[in-house]
Amino acid sequence: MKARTIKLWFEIHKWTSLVCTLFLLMLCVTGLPLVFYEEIDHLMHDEIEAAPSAEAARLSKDVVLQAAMEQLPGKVAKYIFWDEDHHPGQMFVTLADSAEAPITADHYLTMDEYTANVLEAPPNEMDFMLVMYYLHVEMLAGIPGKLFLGFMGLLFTLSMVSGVVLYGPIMKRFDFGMIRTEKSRRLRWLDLHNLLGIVTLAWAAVVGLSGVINTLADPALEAWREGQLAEMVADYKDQPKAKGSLGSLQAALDSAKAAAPGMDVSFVAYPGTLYSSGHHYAVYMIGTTPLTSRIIKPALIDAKTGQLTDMRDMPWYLKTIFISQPFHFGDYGGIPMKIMWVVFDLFTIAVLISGLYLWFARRKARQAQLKRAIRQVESLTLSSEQEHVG
Amino acid sequence: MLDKHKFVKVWGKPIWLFLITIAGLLFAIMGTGIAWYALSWIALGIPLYAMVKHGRAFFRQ
Repeated sequence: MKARTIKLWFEIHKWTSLVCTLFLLMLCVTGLPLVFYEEIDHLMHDEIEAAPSAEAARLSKDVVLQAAMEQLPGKVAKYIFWDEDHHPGQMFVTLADSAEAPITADHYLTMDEYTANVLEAPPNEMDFMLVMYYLHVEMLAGIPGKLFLGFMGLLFTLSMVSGVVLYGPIMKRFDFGMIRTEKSRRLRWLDLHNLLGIVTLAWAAVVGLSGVINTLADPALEAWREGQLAEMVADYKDQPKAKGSLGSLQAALDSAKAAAPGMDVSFVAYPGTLYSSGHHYAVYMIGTTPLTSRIIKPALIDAKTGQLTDMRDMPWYLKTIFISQPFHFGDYGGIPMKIMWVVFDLFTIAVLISGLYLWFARRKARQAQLKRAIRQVESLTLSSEQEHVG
Repeated sequence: MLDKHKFVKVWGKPIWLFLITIAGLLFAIMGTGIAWYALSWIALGIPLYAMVKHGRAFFRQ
């Protein structure tokens, strides 16, 4: 590679890294507790698990929902979630004043599906983990914050590519993993930066790119609502919104399950919410393998008649987002994988900090070099003036 | 021949570590059960071991 080409790649690496490093550091630090979100949340909220006796049977979902709604009279259901892997026998109910109410006005109830008792009613307020989450996802700045972080992720990708390009010429004369401890402190940090950077490359690229993909979730969902979802509910376009008493939730779930054998229900969106039409229970089905459990398939059930009206695979761009999510969260390989995720994250922080150190050290070295040169010129000028005078 | 040797010397280990990391990330999502999980942990453990093994020199005086 020519010296000019190397210099160009060096400039790309320097500037893309400098622009994104502080944001990347924030993402790496806030991401650390988020890897153990479930576990920390569990510790913070003293969660109670549903513990069914051997002969206990689950109640109808309508009964459990009714019990939840009696806790907060006057509210309507927005979403209902299940998580059989981590919280078997529990139903998570979101209630609000109306289906269109903003997320900040939502109330959450965790219900026991065997007894219809309330297990937990967490307050809808920002706790430590939620602050970490919103900082990580959008810097507490909504969709613009999310898209900005996506752009920083793209710069990070470019900085990794340029780093790889520079790695070849630098390592041409050295063995893999070599750290020159006998030379200057700057070279020692440079070698550490190269070692950690090249070894974490695959992990950082996967987590970085999946993060960038995730920042596009909001516009992608909007495109889906205006495209496929609008097409699926086209027959209801001119009908008034479903109001008053709705059909059975349990019957809607049974219809969806019958239409998608071998799939589980992930969540139900009530009519009028962001993830449904004004007339349907949108029952979101998921597969049962680690990979297919990430791909959601909506079944639309007429909320009045209980009839299945449509069920389709989601478009490719949403599937891409769903599949990319576990590769960003690291939550699919048990606790040891989460621990490794944290270690990779810490090494990535070391790459970022060593990069910053190198930039400062290089600047300092250049300034010192410049000062030396100026001093030399000054002393030369002074001695020639003295010669003239003499 | 010399070029091929140089390429392997510079890029051999980084490419191997890149591939083993990707494999580790995929194993746990490809199958269920402890065997797939264990494969994933072992594969992801290799790059971490490489970093610790070579990175220790940084702290040596």
